[in-house]
Amino acid sequence: MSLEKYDVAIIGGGSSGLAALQQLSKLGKQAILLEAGSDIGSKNISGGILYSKKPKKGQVTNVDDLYENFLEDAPYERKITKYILHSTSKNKEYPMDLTEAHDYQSNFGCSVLMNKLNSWFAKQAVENAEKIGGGLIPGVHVKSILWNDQKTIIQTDELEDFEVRAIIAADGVNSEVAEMVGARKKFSPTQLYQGVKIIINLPEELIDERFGINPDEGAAHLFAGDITLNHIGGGFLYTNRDTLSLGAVYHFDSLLKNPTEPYTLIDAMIKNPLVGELIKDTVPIKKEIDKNLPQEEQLRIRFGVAKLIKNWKELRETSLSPSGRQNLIDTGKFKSQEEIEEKLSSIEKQMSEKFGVTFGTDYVEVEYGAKLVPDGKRCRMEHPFFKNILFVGDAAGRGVFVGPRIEGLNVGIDDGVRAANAVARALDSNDFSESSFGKHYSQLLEESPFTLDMKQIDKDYLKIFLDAAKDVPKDIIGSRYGPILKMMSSGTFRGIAVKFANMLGYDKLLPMVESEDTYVKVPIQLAERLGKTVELTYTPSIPTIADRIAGLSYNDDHEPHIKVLNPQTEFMKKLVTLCPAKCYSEEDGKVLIQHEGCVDCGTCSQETQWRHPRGEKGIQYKYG
Amino acid sequence: MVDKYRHLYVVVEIEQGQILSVSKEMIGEARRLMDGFNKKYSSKEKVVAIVLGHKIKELSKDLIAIGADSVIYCDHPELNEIRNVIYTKIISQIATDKDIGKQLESEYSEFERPRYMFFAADSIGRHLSSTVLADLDSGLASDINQLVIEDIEMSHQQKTGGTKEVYEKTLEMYRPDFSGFLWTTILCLDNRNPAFKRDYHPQACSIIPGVFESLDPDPTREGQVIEFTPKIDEKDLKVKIISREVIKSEVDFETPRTIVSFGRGIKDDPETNIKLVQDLAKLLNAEIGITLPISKKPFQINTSLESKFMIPDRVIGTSGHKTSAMLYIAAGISGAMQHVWGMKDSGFVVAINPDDDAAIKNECDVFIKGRMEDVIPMLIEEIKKQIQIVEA
Repeated sequence: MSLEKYDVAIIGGGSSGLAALQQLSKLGKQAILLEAGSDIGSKNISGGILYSKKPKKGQVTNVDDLYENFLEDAPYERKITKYILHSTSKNKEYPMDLTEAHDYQSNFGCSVLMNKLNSWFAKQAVENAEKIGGGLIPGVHVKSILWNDQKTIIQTDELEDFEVRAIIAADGVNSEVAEMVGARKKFSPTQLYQGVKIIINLPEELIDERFGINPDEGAAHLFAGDITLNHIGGGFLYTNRDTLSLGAVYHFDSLLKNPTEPYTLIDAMIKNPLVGELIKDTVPIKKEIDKNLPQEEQLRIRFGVAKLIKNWKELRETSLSPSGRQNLIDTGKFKSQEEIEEKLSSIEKQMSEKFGVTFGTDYVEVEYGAKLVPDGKRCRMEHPFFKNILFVGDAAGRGVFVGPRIEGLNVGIDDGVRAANAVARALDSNDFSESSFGKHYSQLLEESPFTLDMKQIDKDYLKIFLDAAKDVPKDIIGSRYGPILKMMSSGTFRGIAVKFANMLGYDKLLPMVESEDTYVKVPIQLAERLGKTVELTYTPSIPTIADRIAGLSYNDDHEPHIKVLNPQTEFMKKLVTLCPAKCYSEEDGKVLIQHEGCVDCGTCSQETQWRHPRGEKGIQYKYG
Repeated sequence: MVDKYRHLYVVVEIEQGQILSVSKEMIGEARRLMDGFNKKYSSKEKVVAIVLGHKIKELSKDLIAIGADSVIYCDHPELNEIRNVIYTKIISQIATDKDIGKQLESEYSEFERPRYMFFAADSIGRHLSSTVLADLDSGLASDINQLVIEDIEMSHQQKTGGTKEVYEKTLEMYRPDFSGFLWTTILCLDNRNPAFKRDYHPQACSIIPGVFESLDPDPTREGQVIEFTPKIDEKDLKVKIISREVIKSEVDFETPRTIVSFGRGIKDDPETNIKLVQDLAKLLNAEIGITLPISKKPFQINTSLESKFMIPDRVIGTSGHKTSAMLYIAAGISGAMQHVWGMKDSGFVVAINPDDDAAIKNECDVFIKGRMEDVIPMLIEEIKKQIQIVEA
């Protein structure tokens, strides 16, 4: 029996896989992309900033090179123009402007939401791909890869087996491809960060005003200090067009040492007065319905209130956005801005007079999600290939973590392009051997400026931080980093110091820099000594984790995709705390899993038999 | 004036030879409305029940006993099961049959169509009402829960060309409006605007089950039974019913005021414990819920109990149902947050658990420390006693 054949299969439809598809199609090569989610983007989540890099040395393919119309047409959120690191301690905060660090070697960096953005990437890529007999199939989960008699065969849960000549594995940080073929071990907690993020609703013009930015600008705020609850890592708050991304990223090792629920880390941020004040909004508060009224009347009131609130929210949100307002007028729904405002206040009047709705202050959370982030300094694959499979982006452990700036999306896109180029050459020469194909790709990655960032400290980048910290009293930093700092702050010595540090290598250096001092103690001192006071003017009603999970959409698979191997290990017991979706519980000293609320983050993959859910199953993010 | 439109036709639905309660309710409401109508307008218009099926003639008596003046039945083997296309055709044939008009009232020869028409707002009736009225080219108001017949005076740019007109015998059809403005009244009015004059009859609606009351059957009531012979076109029988299975959600967490749930606490003797829960639920007229782990069938029990209780349909929690029962009894449930989310809105929560530290302790109004196999029999006994006292 002959199998259907394709030149290239790309496994995983994230930004990196889609970039590979786009590049291969540009080069006229047939490729087929398999994505497990029911729609492209539904299983993708990121911290939220996509950079376009302008490297000092070497070349990269940026998102705006790969998709020429990116800046005009893509649904990115806001270009980040303001980048501030806040040190926090209780109600004190001390800001440090790091916009220069954000701009360093960068054309731009914009906030993004993955569901929207990846769907757009897919739309661009698929048109070209289909012209040459390739394309994109969502809802397909790759089960195994076989090499039979010179043939490479892909088996999925959903399709007939088919044959390919090469594979690009873009299946993310928990790459099943890497694990099943034995290309690399699962990443260990020291190599990973756990990120948790919530999306918060806030009308567009309130964001402009609150964050002090113009409509074409965006802000990124980073947090260190007591909100880390003594963990290595920090928090972030990015402005999207009409939402905010609020997240916490912590070193997995640090979380294991002192287990804290991921949602507690998010909650700690929400409770911080500075964050709380930035995310607040006006919300309607429903009046309790009189239980003595007839059932039908109660129902009528409930529907009535819900409908009015929905109308109010929609109209308010649209009217607080310049394009939304224009659209209301252009489509003839309203004649003028005044008319919109009148309508809005008449709805408000109805809400309060008819149904006793009042207005208060709170924040509005709309999505909760989690993901593991690979720290490329510690875990990038030395040989990012196996037989005729190339690994890209997160799947190859390639994320750039330097200082507060995290780059992963752009690395993945650039990797995807490099892999596509390597595949194209191999197709032409019909040579898919490791020694030619794999080595060629490996070499292309070595030339990547991102790889250099994962290997070496950049002294110019470091200087930006030292300059930003120049107003900081020497005794705060000095007591902890005295000798290093002295060397670093002098131009001549800095070069030598960085050289020396690079000789030592990241392995030895990181524990010194990525320490409680850096992320917790120094920031707390800074805030307490120099910070200004911010008061929280309301009590945010923070949803419980159960509410958060109940608010997500799932396509439940009755077949569990995770199996506990040994329910009694220390690691498994810590998962009761560390699982962002609280899927684990402990009973009589044994850990049990309920996979139904799983967000596929992979936190537990270390000691479980971990698979992505089958095609179309599992979590479906709306924002991501 | 001689009316072209007369009578109220009620499309009756039957299920396995039984008249559905919503159909009985519609006839009851039709009776009340037409009694008022005939008195007000000194008229003799009728409540006419339409029933389609096979071997259903006997039902005519029942329909008359609960308020119908006339029954038009259509008996044919092809009508044994409801199929929309053929049912639509035949109901339209009946509605436009002038001979029937004559049989209903020999003195009126100008009869063209019914004045009003009722359907049930269940899934079959909603579908049928829309296709029949599309066929009859008149309007339809869906999901109605209040009806009034009145003369109304109105002027309308479209309907009356701006002049004031009196619409006599107009059926005002009310439904709750989701926008919160009390009720919406739906009218189905003829166009009297000279520019595009046309009639909209029958005035039809589908009626929400359970809203109106049916009348007590009066076997002495008399009425007329008319057989209608349908014209069946083979091409309307393309849809064949090969087999029929009633898929009814076995589990209902909406109606009962009490829910008894069990979790892994049944583990020492699962079968006995489930039976205890069953007894308790029966006594309290409660539905039975489970926690998510139970749906994964962690214990070996007999298959009939397993297929009845250890099923995803019964799960209460984040990946199942949410309930706001008046009384919630959690037996042998530890209180995992996934489960708590589904029951925390309950009015009064009783938890039975041998473990003092169980998380459910923080979520309940009464915590009974003990194994369910010990506690439930005592509860059952006590409840029985209390029921006797209350009943006495």
